[in-house]
Amino acid sequence: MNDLGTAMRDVAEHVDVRAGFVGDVLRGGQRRLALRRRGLAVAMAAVVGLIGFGAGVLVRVRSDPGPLDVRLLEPTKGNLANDRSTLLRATELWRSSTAPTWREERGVTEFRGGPHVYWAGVTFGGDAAVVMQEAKAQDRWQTMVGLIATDPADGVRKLVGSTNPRDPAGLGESFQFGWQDRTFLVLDRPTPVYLSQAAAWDHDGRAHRTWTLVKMDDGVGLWTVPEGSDPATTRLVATDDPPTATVSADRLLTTRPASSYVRDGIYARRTGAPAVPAAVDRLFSAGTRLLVGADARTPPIDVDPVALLRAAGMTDLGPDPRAGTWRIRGRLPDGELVLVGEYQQSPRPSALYAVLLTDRGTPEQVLRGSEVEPSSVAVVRLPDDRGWVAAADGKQLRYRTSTGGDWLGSDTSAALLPHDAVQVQVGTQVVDLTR
Amino acid sequence: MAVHAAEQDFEEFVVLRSQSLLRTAYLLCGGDRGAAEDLLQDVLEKMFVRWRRIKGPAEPYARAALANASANRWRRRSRKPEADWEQAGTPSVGGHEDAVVAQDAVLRALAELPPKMRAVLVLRFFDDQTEAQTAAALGCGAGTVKSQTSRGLARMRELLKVEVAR
Repeated sequence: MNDLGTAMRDVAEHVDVRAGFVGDVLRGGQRRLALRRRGLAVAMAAVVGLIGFGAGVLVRVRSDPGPLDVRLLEPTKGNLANDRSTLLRATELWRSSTAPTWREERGVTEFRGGPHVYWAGVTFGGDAAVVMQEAKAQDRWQTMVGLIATDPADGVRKLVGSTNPRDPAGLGESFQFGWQDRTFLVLDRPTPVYLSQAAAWDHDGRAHRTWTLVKMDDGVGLWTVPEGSDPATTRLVATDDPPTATVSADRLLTTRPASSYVRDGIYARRTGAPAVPAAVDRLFSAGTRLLVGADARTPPIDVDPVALLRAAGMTDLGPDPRAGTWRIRGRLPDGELVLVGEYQQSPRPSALYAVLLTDRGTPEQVLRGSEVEPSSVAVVRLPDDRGWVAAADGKQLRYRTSTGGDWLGSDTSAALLPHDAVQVQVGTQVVDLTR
Repeated sequence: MAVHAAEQDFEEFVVLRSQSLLRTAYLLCGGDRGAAEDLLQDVLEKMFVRWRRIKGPAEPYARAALANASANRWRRRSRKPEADWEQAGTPSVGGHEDAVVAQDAVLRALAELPPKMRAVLVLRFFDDQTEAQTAAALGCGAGTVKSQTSRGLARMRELLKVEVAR
């Protein structure tokens, strides 16, 4: 007897379940359950129909079409697809994470079927698993997708990111995780995905990016930002053709760093995370209004500086720059108007911008000025020899047109300087006006 | 919420016990790997539907369901299983040709047995079930299990042409 048992065990020893078997069983079981319920419903309808025919009772049988997303029926992909403990842990974490708060944030009212591990694998950012499940949100069935990985902030394995139907930027099926949030994972999709690691900025303050096609392997694309580069500047876009300088922002696949909650949000406030220093309104206090030039009748200028900066190509793809609320306005000798303010495009420091407008207030040109250093003077040079605007909070400003010449003018906080000015004096500090 | 927990419970069972159950199914199918996966998947899907109504431990239930389903499967097809001899019983144990040949012979012999007799041997000697447990699983009497075991071992001995100790 024992010999036969041993022989059988030897024969069967090499037999193991194939990848995706568990998912296939669960989906098959759910299909059978749905069919069984449908059968019961049809039977009930027939009975009720027979009984209620005379009374005009109408019974409508709900159809259950099964998953709308074929990915929910595919075997698990990735080099950990056969690791059953990884798959089980991933679905457990998904279930425990998709709690009422999570569902409320996303408008999810109902789940259908069980969670499916679409992909599981080893990445530079540690073991990760992509889990998806059908959910009813905003009155329609859609696939919710999340990433189970190790949170770089606390080293705990959890749901570090998930799609959000309520957020227009939250449907990208793209995630950011791993050490310093340097690893990007994007799900394969019909449209090619391109990645750019950082913007390059030209002398005029315009952003330029070069793009690399993200290679999809076994259902996902993975990319890890090398040390020395800032993952916050990485951008992903989904577009049929290679992106150009004017790639539309709606092509952007937004990623939220897995550990971002440590820096902002409720968790950060509760744990006393250090306050982030103000990015703008560093030169003058918020709301300050200053007038430069000789014409005291310069009209108020009402423009949206961020929209103008964006139209001029002076913003990066992704989050809009932050614009300060202080303004300097003035009329130039040729009658045109100028508006100067402060803006900051992360991760660059804040700088001055200047908008040149016709005498009727129509914007014509947008310029980038010097970086803002509150202890010094900030300047922006106007084109076509129309001079400079200089600003330093509460300081007296004077200029001269040759080194060693006499100091001219005397304005406080802001001044419109002639084009031939070569130096500006701020208190006792002398600053060269470099062209 | 109860449905949710039951589904989670079932998933855990499938994850943890599929390998062991598949090996039983593999032997019940006479070494036909594809048939064994189909058989196990079919049984587990049916278990999913009635999961909350299954009384007692799930694994013996699953093994009994496998044994019965394998017997019924061949009955439905009205023919004996045709194991893929090129694949079945040729595990990758390079350098142990004798062992491979022996394993191959065991599978061939199992495949030659009538399905119910094979189920009795698999439950008794692979799953280590008692005669009573085997009888309960297959819905027959203990006497039937005893006689099927006796005749099955004799047939195996004949097929293998080696001594199988009782």
